[in-house]
Amino acid sequence: MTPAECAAEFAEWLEAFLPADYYTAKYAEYRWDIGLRRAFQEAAYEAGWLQPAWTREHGGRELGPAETMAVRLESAVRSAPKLPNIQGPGVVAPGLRHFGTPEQVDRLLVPLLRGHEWWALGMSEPGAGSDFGSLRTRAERNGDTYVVTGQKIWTTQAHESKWATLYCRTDPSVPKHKGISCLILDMESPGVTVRPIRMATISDETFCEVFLDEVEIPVSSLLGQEGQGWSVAMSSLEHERDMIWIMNWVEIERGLQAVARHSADLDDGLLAALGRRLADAAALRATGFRGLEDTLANRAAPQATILKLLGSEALQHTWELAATAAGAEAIVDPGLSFERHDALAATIYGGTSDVQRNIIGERVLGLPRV
Amino acid sequence: MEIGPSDDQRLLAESARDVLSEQSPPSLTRTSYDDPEAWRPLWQTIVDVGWTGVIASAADPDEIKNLVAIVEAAGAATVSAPFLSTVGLAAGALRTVRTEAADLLDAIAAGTTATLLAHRSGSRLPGACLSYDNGRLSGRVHQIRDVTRVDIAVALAEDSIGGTQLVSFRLSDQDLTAHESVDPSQPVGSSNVSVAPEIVVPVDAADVLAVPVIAAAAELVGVADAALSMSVGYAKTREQFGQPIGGFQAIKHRLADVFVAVERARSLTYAAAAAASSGEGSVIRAAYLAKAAANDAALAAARACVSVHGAIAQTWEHDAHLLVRRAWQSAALLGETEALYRAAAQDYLAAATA
Repeated sequence: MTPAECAAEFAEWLEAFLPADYYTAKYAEYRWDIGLRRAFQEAAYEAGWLQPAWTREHGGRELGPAETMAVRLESAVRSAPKLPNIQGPGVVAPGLRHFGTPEQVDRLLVPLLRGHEWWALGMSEPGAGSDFGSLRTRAERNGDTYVVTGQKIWTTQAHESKWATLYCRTDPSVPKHKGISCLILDMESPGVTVRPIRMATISDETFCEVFLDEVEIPVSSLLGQEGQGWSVAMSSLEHERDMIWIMNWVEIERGLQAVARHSADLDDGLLAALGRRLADAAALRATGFRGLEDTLANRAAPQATILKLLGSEALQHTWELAATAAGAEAIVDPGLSFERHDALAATIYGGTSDVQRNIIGERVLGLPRV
Repeated sequence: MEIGPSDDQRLLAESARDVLSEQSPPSLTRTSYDDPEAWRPLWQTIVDVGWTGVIASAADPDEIKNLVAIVEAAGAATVSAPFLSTVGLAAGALRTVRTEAADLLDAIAAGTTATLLAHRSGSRLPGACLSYDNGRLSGRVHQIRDVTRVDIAVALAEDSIGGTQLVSFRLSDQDLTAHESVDPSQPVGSSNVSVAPEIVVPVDAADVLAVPVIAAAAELVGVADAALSMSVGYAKTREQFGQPIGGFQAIKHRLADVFVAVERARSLTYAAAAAASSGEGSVIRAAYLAKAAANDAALAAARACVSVHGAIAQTWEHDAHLLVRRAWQSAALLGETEALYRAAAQDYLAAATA
């Protein structure tokens, strides 16, 4: 099947799945319909649309990269329901498939993909945000178990999660990136305390603090080798970045439509600003395709490093433009306020914009690290 | 169709860069500022290697992408010969009337030089700049690129019944004024046109302008890329405060933002070339977005280049000003940034609210 045929088949399936008034009722209402979103994930898993490149048992249909991207874009264009625990299928699952033991994959992957068991990413700490390598949560080995003590923060949905990928320092004697390991934490283990943090705005992706007080985790729960945690984290986030630009792109397109609703009120300056955002959206899509073409041809794709930075910045600019176009009405439009808050997160998660600029400066342009 | 260059186009671009690094060094661009004939040997090379035949009398489905590949390399080398004007702009317009323009396209392939007239006084977007009535063209045309270096003019003219005609005539016979342009390697001038055209074909203006605008974008992507490379090379080696200045985030992040601008413009230019080749979507909107983004990228890259180099970039002997001049000149021609973004937005709104 060609990419277009795959996308068409997916579209047909999606239309049959969605409630009849999905596009006529306000998107804003279905945005918060957690039941629908859970049902969508389960159905997508069953039908092989959840991770189209993977095998049937892992929620896919073994599509190639071009077909997979066509399906993802189709899903974005059609505003398919948002996965309720996006970091599970988006970040944890690729890492689990790549680094997990057969026992870990057997036990954990399918419940994750079906959405029956939610996952949290135990990465950030009070002293380790962008500087992830300086994390201090300590895991000391004692026979067949690690004893873990420390604290995580900004841990999205930890209070609703069954599991977490917990990044800990297993070897304090080596330089910081080298002594990190990834442990699979059962959130119900004794010694785990989770405290949700009130968010600045309405959100179903609530941050939590996670306190770990001598939590025992079996050695068999290591994801990857001891000391391989940095690679597990980077590889997992790379998968996420492949998907983030598509998510950004569809949110930008939605923002552009919000601007277009004020078309009669746009002066020359706002029209030019709208043109800039149209360029961002089109450039994002074209850069994504160039990256895909290079991947298929086994060529390096340095331009793909702009996707996260361009997409997240453009998303913010687009919703700010939507607010400007709405004029003073913007401040009494809770839906618009939510979009603006939501867009603010985009330049933080998955690596902040300033970290992205370091990555481009150092890895692509070859400028020195300091 | 692929958005990025095919393997053949990658080879074409590579060979263009090789040829131009030898035949169009910065020293030639600088010489051409003062010597009005300095570009001729380079032009002969361009004719000999066949780049003037990229848009030929026989259609080639890859011609727009091939054109973009060469023009991008020509921009990076601040080529002083009228390659963009002749092949990108004039032939790029004539391809829409290929049957009627077959002889002229053959002549261009053989080395005849040409340009596209696109500006009336004060115009911010390219468009019709002549009137066509009773078999004669008339009007005052501004900002003619390569005004003293080309034989033939191609233009859009408004006829007496509200239609648009694609026309050509011998420019060198007209009353021409060359101005002191910011980039003297592509001298810009104006003309009072009064002539009977050789080719007259009714056209849709947007169809005609799309490929010239895309070619102009490709040139600026090349300029932007060259300015970024120059800046990065310097930032890696120039030391201040005991370390290479590229290690400071103030410089690193600025150059990372320029990289984003360059790749944003390049993606839009390649996407517009693919759209123009397949005819899918609003080709003129894609072309306008590409040119606007290429303006942004070239201007930002040129400014950053001067800033990163410091005082030396303001000297005649340094190459930075060659890129600054080309960026300024080409960003103003065939569509100024804000006007392009506005026009693209209006096209989008017309489609969104239809």
